[in-house]
Amino acid sequence: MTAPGVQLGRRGLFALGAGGIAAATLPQAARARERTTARIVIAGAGAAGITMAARLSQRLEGARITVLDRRERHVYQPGLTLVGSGVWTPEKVISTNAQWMPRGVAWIREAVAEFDPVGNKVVTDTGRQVPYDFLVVAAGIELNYAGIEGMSEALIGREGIGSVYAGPEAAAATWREMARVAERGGVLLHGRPATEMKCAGAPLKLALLSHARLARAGTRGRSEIVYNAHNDATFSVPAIHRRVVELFGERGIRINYGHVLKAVDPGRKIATYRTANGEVELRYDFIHVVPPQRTPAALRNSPLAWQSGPLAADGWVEADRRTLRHPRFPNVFTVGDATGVPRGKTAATVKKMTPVATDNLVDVIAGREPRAAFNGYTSCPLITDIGRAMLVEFDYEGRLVPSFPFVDPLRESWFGWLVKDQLIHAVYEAMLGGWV
Amino acid sequence: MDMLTPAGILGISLALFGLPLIAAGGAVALAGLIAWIGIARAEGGRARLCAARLPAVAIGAVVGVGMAVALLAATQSGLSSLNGVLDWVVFLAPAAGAGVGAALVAWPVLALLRPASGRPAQQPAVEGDGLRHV
Ligand SMILES: Cc1cc2nc3c(=O)[nH]c(=O)nc-3n(C[C@H](O)[C@H](O)[C@H](O)COP(=O)(O)OP(=O)(O)OC[C@H]3O[C@@H](n4cnc5c(N)ncnc54)[C@H](O)[C@@H]3O)c2cc1C
Repeated sequence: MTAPGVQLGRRGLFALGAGGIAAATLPQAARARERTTARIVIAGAGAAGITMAARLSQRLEGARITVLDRRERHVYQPGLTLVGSGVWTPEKVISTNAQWMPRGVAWIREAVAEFDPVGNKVVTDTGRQVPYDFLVVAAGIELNYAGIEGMSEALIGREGIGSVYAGPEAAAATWREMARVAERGGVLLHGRPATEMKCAGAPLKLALLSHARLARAGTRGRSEIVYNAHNDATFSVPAIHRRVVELFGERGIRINYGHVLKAVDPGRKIATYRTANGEVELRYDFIHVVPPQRTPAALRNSPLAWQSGPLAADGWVEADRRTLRHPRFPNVFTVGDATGVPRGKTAATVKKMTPVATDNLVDVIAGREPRAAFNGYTSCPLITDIGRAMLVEFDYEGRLVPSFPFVDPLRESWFGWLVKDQLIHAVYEAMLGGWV
Repeated sequence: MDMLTPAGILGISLALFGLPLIAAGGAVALAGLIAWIGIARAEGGRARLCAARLPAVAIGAVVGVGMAVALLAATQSGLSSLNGVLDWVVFLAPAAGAGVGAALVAWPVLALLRPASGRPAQQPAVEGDGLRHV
């Protein structure tokens, strides 16, 4: 399928090898493909969009799948905390979307500017109209640095300001700032925004990793590390919150509850927090800024977003929390960070969401009712030290649901670190290929 | 677990090691196995294999320890990072695996290089008065 400005994706040796051998080893049932001529548009070519494209092209015969995304670069975001703490180099998390785009899928290198679920089309930022029979929304999250007074992406890596969220270069700059403070010691501020956010564990990891770096540099005794929680917990799952409090206690990391970052003043190195008792100013030598997060404007301003309720404010896409199908526009499914469900927003969630959304979309295409159910699976290996992590995994109900039954999810282990440092990147790449 | 399907294992292994490395490892293992069977069936082969056993174990031990050190270095960890039985098992298993694998591959190679007596294969055996009797 080719159109002006559209290029077919290429797969590398990895996918070729995996494809050939895996096809030979998959059970017949899994390989049975549904015949259709449906036009499927996937908005976003991040972790969720590419995985959906791979899975749908494996399951459907004759479907015309089009992915829309202007971004050429693919970032393995779960590696950003490791870059931000000097464990990985930024190059390790960078690849290209072309490398992962499934063969036979059309990729329009333009962003969606308007979602029109009534007219069953999207309009790109060049004005191109792309009609669809089915839409998969996978446009991820927008980082709103401007939502913090005085803050901008350009400040990352200067005046003690770090933020791994903005990408590999920002993560590397964060590490430079952290390393500078680790040499002399000082006050390090961490925290999270009051909005929904991707990988809510990342700010905690950064706090723990900054402790590890200072301890290794011998300056921990001369330093103060503070974690500013936006509400009365460090994490939304009570068991994990209690464990984090324990870990912070052991390491002397102070927790301020109910502190939401309102402003930074890089010149004075002062951060202002909104609290129940008014504004509080804290001095810092290093601050890890995690910006407020919301869906991209095209989604926020579209009828696809929740129209009321707690997820409406930042434009999260309305979806049935089990089937991931849009309740008002039944030919629309949502996967990944943009999905308006109570948990999720991790790559691990994408891994569990995409098979569900694929099964259900294939069912709908075939005229059946969607049967697969997403259980809210969310996971974020909580790095507690360089060399240790906890493999925390949980569902909608906040129950711990470990993938490895022999692993205690609340115990720090080298195994957990090995999984995070060595294995998950490979699992992520296998996910992009649709193999896991 | 979806990761433990054939496709999952393959996909993850390919992403971890890459097709060329997996193919090379498979080729070496296969060549070692063929060589081992060939030597065992040849005349005097068993004696050769016996003689090569200890040096092969030594090579395996060196590779195993090397693997353990490399694993810690690659993960920027130390022995103090290991916390509990699971960690030790996960740490020792690849080291043991690499050691046993190396020993198994080295065994037939050493058997080919060494005669049954343990003397280097290149030197012809010399009997009695030191003169070679034809
Ligand atoms: C610092 C950090 C640490 C993390 N740690 C972990 C971890 O340890 N474990 C874990 O599982 N997850 C982790 N995550 C989360 C994980 O990376 C994300 O949940 C995952 O990438 C979500 O995939 P996605 O496809 O929804 O979004 P993304 O991968 O962000 O992709 C969204 C795509 O949509 C595109 N897009 C945006 N707007 C439009 C538009 N209008 N039209 C078309 N395309 C558009 C973007 O260009 C982008 O390519 C972390 C994330 C960060 C930032």
